[in-house]
Amino acid sequence: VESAADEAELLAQVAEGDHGPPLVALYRHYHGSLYALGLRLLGDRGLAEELVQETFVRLWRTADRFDPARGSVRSYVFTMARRIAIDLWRRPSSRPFEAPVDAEAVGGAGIDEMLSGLVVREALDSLSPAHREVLELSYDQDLRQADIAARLGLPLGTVKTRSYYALRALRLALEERGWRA
Amino acid sequence: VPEHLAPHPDLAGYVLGVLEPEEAEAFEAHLSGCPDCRREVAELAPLPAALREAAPPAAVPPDLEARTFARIEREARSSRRGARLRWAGLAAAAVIVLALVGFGVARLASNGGPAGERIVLAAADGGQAEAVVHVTAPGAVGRVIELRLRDLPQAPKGYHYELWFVGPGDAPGRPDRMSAGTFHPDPGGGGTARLLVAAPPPRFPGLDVTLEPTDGNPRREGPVVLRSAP
Repeated sequence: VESAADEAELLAQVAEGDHGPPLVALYRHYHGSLYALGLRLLGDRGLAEELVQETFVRLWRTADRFDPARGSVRSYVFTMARRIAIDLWRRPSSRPFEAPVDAEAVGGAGIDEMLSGLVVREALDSLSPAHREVLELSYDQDLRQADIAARLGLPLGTVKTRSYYALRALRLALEERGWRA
Repeated sequence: VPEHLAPHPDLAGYVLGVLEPEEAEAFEAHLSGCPDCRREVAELAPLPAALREAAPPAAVPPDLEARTFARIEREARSSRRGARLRWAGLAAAAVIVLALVGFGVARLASNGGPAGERIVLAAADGGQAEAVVHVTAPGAVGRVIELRLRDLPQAPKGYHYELWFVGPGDAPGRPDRMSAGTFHPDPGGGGTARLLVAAPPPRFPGLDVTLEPTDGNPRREGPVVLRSAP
């Protein structure tokens, strides 16, 4: 997981002409959120894929215009992605049959909530599988800690300790992504 | 002094709401006497709500990464090609500019140096009219002509004067000349004009002024009024 400063550094390397590992690292950081954003906004897997591709082509092209003093790489990526989503949505071939699921959202209303949900998903995905698992069992289902311990085949004490460190790790991962309570 | 060095074992379960009721009660009792735990609970308390709003995991097609980077690689190759062509274009332009500068310097020398060349045009009919032409070559753009007139009669209505660079083989019906521009003298027969011409003087060693009908036809039709000495 990269911090905001690490991401700015990666993008600076892209700006210097390296579209290999630094851009791949950024891709792996954001592809899930961008794809989910595309599915949600455009309601179509093909368009969601195009959103991911176009965002990264443009990120590569405009890497030298990124100014870390003016914002994070995350906000740069998502500002660009929103604009691209609007362009894709306006393209007549995007709507052969009907309006997309979320025409409103493309315009802006509700998109912040959506982005926030994507950030939480990214933060969860960045945790170790053991941490993610214990958190998912805690909030997905109506389980008690003893049930979780039984489900995972772990001593209760381990589940308690692990839950604590999982929460701390999640809090950190969220903060790194600019999330605020 | 913290009551416990390790995190309290029930702190996370309390925040996540997964304790048994009696465990939760006991932890709350502990909490009232433990500022460290209160601070931590406050920090972690927003997380369960965040977890509930988490977007479902997205199943990104596994080959999307390869396709995206193949596209970037393609565009990078074609923009490198574009950049090479742009550089080649700039280099060619630079060669042309250098050639023109060289040409300009050579012509300038043949025009008598930076001060330019002064040519007097006398009346073809032996009269008093005269024009003094000062030719300079300030750069690759061409020649700058400073024209100064004296005693040149007003052109009749529907006519204007035209200054020409004249080549050696110029003859009626077989023109070898290049227009340097058109003008009218002021009411006193004088006046000055500044004209810009692309003609290289060595190619057109002569200069003359003709009286031309203002009919839109660029060819020389009228009589020679003033001419340079042969």
